[in-house]
Amino acid sequence: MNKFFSYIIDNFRYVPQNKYNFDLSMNDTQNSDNSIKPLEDLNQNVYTSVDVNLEYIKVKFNSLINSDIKIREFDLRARNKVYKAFILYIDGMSDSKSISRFILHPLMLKSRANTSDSNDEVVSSAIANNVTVKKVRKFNLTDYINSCLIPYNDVTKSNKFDKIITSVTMGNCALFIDTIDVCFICDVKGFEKRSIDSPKNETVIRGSQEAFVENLRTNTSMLRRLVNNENLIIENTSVGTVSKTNCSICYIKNITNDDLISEVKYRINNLDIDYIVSSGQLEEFIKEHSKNSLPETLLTERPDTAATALLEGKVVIIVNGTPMTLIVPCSFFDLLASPEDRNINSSFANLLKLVRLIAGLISVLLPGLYVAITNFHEELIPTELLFSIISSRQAIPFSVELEIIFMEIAFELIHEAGIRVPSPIGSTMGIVGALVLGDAAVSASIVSPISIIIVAITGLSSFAIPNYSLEFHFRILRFVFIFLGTVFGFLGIGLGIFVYLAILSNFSSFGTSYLSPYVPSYNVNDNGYFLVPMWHREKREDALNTKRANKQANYSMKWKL
Amino acid sequence: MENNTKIGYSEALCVLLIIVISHLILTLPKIILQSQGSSSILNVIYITLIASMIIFIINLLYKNFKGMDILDLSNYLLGKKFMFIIGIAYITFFIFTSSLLIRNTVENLKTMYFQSTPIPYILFFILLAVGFISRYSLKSVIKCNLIVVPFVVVALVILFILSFNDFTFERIFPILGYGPKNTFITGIDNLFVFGNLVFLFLLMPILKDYKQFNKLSYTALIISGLFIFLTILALLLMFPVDISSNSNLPMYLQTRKITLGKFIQRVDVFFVLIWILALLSYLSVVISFVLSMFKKLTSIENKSLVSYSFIAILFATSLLYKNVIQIRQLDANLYKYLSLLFTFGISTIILLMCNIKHKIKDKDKVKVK
Repeated sequence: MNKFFSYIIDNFRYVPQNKYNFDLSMNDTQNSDNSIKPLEDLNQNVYTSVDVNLEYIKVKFNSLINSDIKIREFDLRARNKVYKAFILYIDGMSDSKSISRFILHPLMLKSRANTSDSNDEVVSSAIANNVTVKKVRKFNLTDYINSCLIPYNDVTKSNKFDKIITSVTMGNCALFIDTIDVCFICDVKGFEKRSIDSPKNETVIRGSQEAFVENLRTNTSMLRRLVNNENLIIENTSVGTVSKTNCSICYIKNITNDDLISEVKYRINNLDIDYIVSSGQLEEFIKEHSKNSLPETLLTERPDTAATALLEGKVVIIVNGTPMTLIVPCSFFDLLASPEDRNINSSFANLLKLVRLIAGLISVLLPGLYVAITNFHEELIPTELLFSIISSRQAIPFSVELEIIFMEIAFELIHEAGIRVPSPIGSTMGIVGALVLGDAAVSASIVSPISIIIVAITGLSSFAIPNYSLEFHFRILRFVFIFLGTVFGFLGIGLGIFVYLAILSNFSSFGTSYLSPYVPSYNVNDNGYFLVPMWHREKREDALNTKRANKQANYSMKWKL
Repeated sequence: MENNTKIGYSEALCVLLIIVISHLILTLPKIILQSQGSSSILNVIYITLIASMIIFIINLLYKNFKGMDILDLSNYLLGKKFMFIIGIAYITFFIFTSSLLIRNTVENLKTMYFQSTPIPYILFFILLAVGFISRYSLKSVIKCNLIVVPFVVVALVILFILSFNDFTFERIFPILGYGPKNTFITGIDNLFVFGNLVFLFLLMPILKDYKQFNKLSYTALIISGLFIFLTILALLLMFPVDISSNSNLPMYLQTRKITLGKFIQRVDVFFVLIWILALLSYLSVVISFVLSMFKKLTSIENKSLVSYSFIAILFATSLLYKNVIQIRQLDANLYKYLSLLFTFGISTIILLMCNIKHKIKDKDKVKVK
């Protein structure tokens, strides 16, 4: 009896919590204001006193506890006068050799330029009646340092601390000098970055083997190289009040529609957020239909795809730190296109496009159709096949729909696990999951072989979808169609298809119809889903309403005339 | 209608086609075959010619009223009260025809696939989808229809081609069926098959280019006539008139006869799937037009709020009919004549009166000058 009571008391008595339970959401005093504001007011001008500037910088950068913030104080010699100065940079972000060679060395070491003691520069001189008349320009320390003492190619001046601090956090070096209220910013970025590699997700056989990297400037240079036209505009903007992530909005000035450019800029410049660190996050923020899982932008890691989009009159958005760029606007059919399509003969491309279209349909509809047919429309199945399905399902304890749902979930599990585990084990995981478990499940009469075939074909088809976001969207949609097929057979599937078509018809990406060029009745202009021969692709997409409608002459192959 | 809703030629054409095709799948062939027998083909050609003449007159009368729909015309003729009466009459007509069509479809679906499911459940499920879509703008619904119509058209053509093996050409005789009087005089009431043309009086203000109105009306008439002709021809040549005219869904009978080799023995379900899409497209288009008309009549800000009310009315109306026999009777008697009245009667008379008023006004202006 005592044991029983002691058991009850041990298990149900009050025990004070001694677990570490930190929850930010509980602290309501810090989150009373929901609006996003800049963390601090940095709209402060540079002071003329270098000591004040130094103090300001030390406070802003928390230099006492920030180990990578480097401040180097020194004496600067100009026209034989000595000025106190300091440079500020972040270790690891800037190139130390460039700082030493092109900034510190000319400023600190004695040379003809900084030891000459004449304060005023002689512009011209003339001798009249033995009197030398000199025309002199008044000495200006800022101009003098900029033009004579910093032998570096990219130097900008700024008197605003917000700009200076942002530049330094991006890897630049700031030079403050006593008596002048201007700071020199030298572009000495020198952080470690990944070199240009081959594309991982959008591999092609005949096209370029270069992919974008995380560094924004490398990416823009790749675009410049491919477009090779002075009308390519690369506008920089920063997103996020805290992260100030650099984004580039790229377009070709005399091709892209001005309204489209304005819309893209408007959406990006009107984001009241703390930070973004990837193009995926930006994509979600600039989506018009934010609750819909359909992608509104085309993601690509290929510079040639981005360059083609630019030349077609679209806008490319590059986010610093992400090797995936965004192309806007995009249509449903763009998401089913592969980069390889452009590099091969149109008949080969069309065959692949047809396969992808069928794959898309199978990926969305096959499990739902299977459930609908087996539950409501058995007469559709040929008699022999029907018998074999019935005999294979005799020992299965689950209904068809449950069996398919279990199998789909198992497939998703194998897929997810294959991605999460290290790559050498990933493939093994897939084989073990698919073959061993599948075989064991059939042997144990948990699932029927036909269900495994259906789920496997569906899975294979979903991998044939070139766009990752669209593939995900189809994976979700598949479950909806399984449900509809279970409830009302082909009627349910028909209702689902119609509602989905209506959603697609109502959907738009940056002002263009999602089903363009087919819906609404734009002129397809040889820009349909299936490609016409290269020489026949004369016009740009009508839906884009570009400034330059034609991209090649009616008779492009003049050598044939 | 809505200012931002302008549609192109092909979109407008698809609107007119989906109306006729939806009725064609369900009731039209049965009614024509019942009344005309083996002279149905001659009758279809005859009524197509008559309809083209009426279209010619309508186009002629519409010359001075480009960009005006039936509500604008009635407003011009006798003011807002008359416009309201006409608007409500048209809305009631559309709700009635849609309810007949959907109930008929649901009855057929229940017989074919859902024997144990109560009709209200199937109705509710279909109307839920239509209600969801009707929240979208008229243009989005028409865009969706633009995708559906080509599939439906291709399905009809495939059905005709696949049925070719089962044709017995002798069934066309006697070519005059129940006699020339029946074919050419009493048979003129089969003009109701072109009931889709009533939407010409609603499409005008939303057309991008009013100049294409004439082309649109003739093309819609010719294509509709062609589809009716092909469907009637196939049914006439495949089955004895007694069977096709008494079957509840003659085109379904047609699909049941099709086999593709040894493996695919039944393809009817695929056609049923396409027909479901056609029906949904029809309902969405009609409900969207009804909502647009209601919006114009009442000047409500947000039409999506009333969309579910109209869906509920449609649901309740569809449940009013007792059985298939009653639906058949209403189809053959009431729908037929109402369709004639609204398409070629009221609309044409209003248009004619508007022209007279226009001429009187012109004369008055000349006198004043």
